[in-house]
Amino acid sequence: MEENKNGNLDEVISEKIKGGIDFIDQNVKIDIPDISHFRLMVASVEEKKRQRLNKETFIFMLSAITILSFEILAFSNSFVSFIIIQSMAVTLLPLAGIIGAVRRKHKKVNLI
Amino acid sequence: MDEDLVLKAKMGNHEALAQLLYRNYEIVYKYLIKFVLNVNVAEDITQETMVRAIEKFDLYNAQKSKFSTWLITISQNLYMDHLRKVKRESKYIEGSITQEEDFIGRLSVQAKEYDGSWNAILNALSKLSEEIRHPVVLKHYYGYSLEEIASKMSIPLGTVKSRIHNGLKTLRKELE
Repeated sequence: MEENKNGNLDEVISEKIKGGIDFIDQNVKIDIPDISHFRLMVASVEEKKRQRLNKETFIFMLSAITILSFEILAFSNSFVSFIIIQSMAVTLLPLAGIIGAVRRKHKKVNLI
Repeated sequence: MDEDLVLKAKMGNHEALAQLLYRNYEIVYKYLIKFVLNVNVAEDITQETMVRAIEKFDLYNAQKSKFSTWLITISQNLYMDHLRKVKRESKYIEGSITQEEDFIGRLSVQAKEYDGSWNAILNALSKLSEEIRHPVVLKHYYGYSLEEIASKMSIPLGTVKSRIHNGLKTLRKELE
């Protein structure tokens, strides 16, 4: 009996929720920014994306050249050193990448 | 019209992307205001949605969904982030009017044909916490199933049922 009563009341509440939110939909005043605001936003975000890409490309190139230099030096002077550097690169670099990704994820969560 | 703009934006036309965002701003804002009942929060999340859409536009697949649907998905995720932040901060001002109640009050004043009939339910909704109001609105206004709500909110099905149950219980009490 109590369940029936609550069930009927829930239907009434459901209808009231729909009506109330429709009321919000029809009457809420929205300050839509001017189109120039969106043009600026797109330009700004695209510029930041470009700068981020340039930075990452630069770091990649620098790292690649540095590693390649060491490899060439090691290979030409000492084959054993070359093997050691190669082994370290294969194990440590992916690990550094994973740690960096995890840190960025944590930083993103903390900023929210 | 949106489809044409999407094609142009995908080819790098920034003006087309700006037009797309401008045309869909209202849709995103109206979607959010129904949950947050707070003008400042709705505006902030809508702005953040626009920025995120620009950043991730390369990932948008026009074959899978409409642009507005994609924006709504982004806003939904950002709203979930907002809820988690609010929960962590757990700020509640005792004894003073909340921003949600203030929003309902101002809405009542600005409504063109206001007869006070929606005051009770809107005030009752504003008294629910955001994490309870969200699933209640998703179910009773948008008609999502409990499983769909659990997926959208990234919470267990049991938690969805519990929050909706508690939400309706509070609404029943407020409306009696």
